[in-house]
Amino acid sequence: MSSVSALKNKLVLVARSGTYVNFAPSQVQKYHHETERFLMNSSDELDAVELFDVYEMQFHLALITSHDVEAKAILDRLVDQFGSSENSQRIRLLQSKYLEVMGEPEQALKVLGNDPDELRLSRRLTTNSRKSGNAEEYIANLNFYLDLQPSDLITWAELGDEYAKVGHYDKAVFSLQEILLQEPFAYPVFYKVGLYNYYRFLQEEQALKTERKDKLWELVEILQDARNNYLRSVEICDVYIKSWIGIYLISSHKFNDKLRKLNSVKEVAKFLEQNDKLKTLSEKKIRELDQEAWAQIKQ
Amino acid sequence: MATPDLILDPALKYWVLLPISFVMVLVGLIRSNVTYLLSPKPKLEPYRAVREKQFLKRAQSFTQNSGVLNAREIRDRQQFLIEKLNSSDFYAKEGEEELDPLSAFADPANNEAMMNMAKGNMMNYIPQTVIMGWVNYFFAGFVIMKLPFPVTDGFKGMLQTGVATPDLNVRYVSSISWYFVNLFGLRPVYSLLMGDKEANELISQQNQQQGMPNIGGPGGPKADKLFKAEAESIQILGHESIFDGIVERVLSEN
Repeated sequence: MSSVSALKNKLVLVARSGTYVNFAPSQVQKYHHETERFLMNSSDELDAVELFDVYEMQFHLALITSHDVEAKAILDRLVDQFGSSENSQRIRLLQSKYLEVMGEPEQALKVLGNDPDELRLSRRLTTNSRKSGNAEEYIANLNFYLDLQPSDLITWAELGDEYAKVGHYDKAVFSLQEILLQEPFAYPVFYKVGLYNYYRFLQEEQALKTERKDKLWELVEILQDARNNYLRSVEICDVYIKSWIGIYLISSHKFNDKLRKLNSVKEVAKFLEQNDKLKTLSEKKIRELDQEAWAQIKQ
Repeated sequence: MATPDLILDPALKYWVLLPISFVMVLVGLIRSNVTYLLSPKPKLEPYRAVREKQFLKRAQSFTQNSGVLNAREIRDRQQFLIEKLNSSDFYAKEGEEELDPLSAFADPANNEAMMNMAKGNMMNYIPQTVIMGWVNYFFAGFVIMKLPFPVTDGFKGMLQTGVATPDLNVRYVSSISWYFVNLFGLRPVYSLLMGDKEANELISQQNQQQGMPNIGGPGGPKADKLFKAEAESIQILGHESIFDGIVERVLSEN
């Protein structure tokens, strides 16, 4: 494979997966340059569908990197190609994003319209209430949208994060598990489910006043869920260090010492025994994968 | 040899053989463009129909992957999904009742689908009928070429249609047979002229869209049946989870 077609494949893949929205700033900058050069020099390599996918990505990259003149040029090019934007949701979505970035939120909303069949635009409308800072309203909107589109994974992810922000970790976990049901090998999502379970444990542990056995056992169950999800994540991807760190934090948590009093219960004894083993293992793994991270944990 | 060689007028090549081929290619190209123009624009599905499909998908993925949850979570979701699947909350059309198959023809949505099919078919056979009529009218009974290689007698029916000479060497080809050879053999020429890749891409895109069961479409299963069936398979789902024994698995792997 020549280097040009390798580059082409990479750009098309990135454009279609949409991962570029999660890139670090330096990466975004790099991709923006790379795509610009590629479109200038070797756009013949792309067929029609690929070309406009890459243009769409470049539009977003231009917006992210504040090249709004360039973004406008690309948008005009797309509108020229596909005619009036009346019947294309995809183009109207881009137009609305452009207007929003240019500081004209009312215009942006107007472009989106309110046809309930245009689901892509409805999703964009849903995100509108995020800016108001009213988490409750935003969550209600997301829930409304999910009632219309019960298997929209991106929205489930967003809902999960929003719930986590306001501290409803159980609901956040529920939302993220919807993703797992459709993508059972998404190890970062397993990690996140583990993380939110862990947060929920911390939240409830803080609120815990008594040391009654049944209350403690509830906490152990949450902690076990967190640990299991972390473990599943490293089972799928062995080098996913975040999950190893999570396992280490759980297995070395001081709550374990509290539990030792309940050692007479069989399940608790087993849980503690497993934690001891996992502590050694995760320590070894984190050292192998990243010395720096290990040093930070030790601090 | 029983039959002496025929002498073919070289003008046949320029006035019959090449024109037939040329017209066939041309008509093929025009037809593909007209079919493109006639093909229906993708229409937006009403959101209720999408909602119905998506809910079914959610239920199906739960059936397939319920193992990513722990036993308690599986039970909770099982209850929720069975309840929803057995109610009519997620139906695209309220109160879908049993329709008899004949009344499907009265449904305007079905009519449109059938009209599109009819258009496609018409674009296939009208041009062919016209060209065949043209060949038959002007060149009936012409022997227009001699193949440069010998063929067995079995090819007689294929190569000498319309020429009633039982003893003629099989290598001679009649005009109407040349038409048929062109009809079935021009595909590579078209893909060369129109770009193979884009044609293939169109076809593969069309195939991909048919992943989901065509709920409510002509002849497709009705939502309530699918929902009930899904509810049953969720009902009998076991509570097996990938988290059972995961600690041992991870410990033994490392």
